[in-house]
Amino acid sequence: MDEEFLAEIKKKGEYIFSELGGASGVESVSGVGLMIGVKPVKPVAQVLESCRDKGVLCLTAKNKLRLLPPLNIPMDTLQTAVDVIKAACAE
Amino acid sequence: MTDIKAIDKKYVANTYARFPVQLVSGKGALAWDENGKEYIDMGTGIGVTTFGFADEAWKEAVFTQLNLLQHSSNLYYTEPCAMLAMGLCQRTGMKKVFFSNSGAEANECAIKAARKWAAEKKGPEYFNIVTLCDSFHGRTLTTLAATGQSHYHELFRPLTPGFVHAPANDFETVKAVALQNKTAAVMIECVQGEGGVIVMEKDFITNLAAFCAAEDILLIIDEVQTGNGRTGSLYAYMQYGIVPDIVTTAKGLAGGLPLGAHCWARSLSSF
Repeated sequence: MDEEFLAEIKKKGEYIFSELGGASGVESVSGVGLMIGVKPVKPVAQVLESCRDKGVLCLTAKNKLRLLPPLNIPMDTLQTAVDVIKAACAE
Repeated sequence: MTDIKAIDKKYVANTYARFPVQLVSGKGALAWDENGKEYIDMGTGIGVTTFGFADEAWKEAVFTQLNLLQHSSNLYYTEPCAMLAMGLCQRTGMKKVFFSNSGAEANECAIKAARKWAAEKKGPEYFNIVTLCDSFHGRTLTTLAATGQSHYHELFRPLTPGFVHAPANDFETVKAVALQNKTAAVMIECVQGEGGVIVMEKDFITNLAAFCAAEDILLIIDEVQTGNGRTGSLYAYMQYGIVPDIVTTAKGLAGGLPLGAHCWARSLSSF
């Protein structure tokens, strides 16, 4: 786990922040690196279930969706997952 | 087909709120259920499988060791134990490592180490540990007492005494609570995971570290969930420019093997 790898983690985290921060149905985004909480407008259980139906496994932490993806998740896989989460929050 | 969900419901304790999915296999960030449905894993077993499922380098390291020794007890020297302790110390500046099977045990060790240190240095009445509201430090009886969420405590009282809770990101209150009680240590997470992904502010942690140093109170950073690269630094505390007295970690440390570590920054003969 060198500096380059750690910098990639930060970049991936920033990508999630930029995509979900201010997105439709998202109240707030918190966290650092690839430890992220997404507070949806609607009940988190609904978003969790919708994501699962669409093939994305997430966690919760209180009233937030909690994201702890693999640190080496490929960028295109991460993009697919974020798109699903975005759609689940917006619907 | 064997109905694993039914067998699980019948024989496994009703402790877990399971999702209606049986995971069968995985590769990297992908996992497949009993019907072959593919998922992207955004949970990593709650921050454990850091490099995804069935990572090649991880498998090779585990298989290599499995072909040598799976266990030896702590009566013998072994290479993985010594080398991991050295690696952790060299990359963090910590002095000594104690290994355990889980994060809860690493935190339990931190609590015991802090109490022992305080009893010897400040007196046995200095046994209190301040933790934060909405924190999560584990599910053993003592780490449950450390956990600042009362709903986890219900039906398990009396808990281990000697824990006081104060609000996160409120330095003045933490300071006041630490001074009102005879305090051995303050234990915090830099980002509260179970508590709702709450990030500690830079000022809060730097003020707290300075206060603890001035009052000879140990600062314990629980990096069970935040550690091992999760937040973009090897350990989250490194982003705050502080040096804790004790760092605990687990989860991603071994990527799926049951391993916890307690790292101690001070040079004390008994540790």
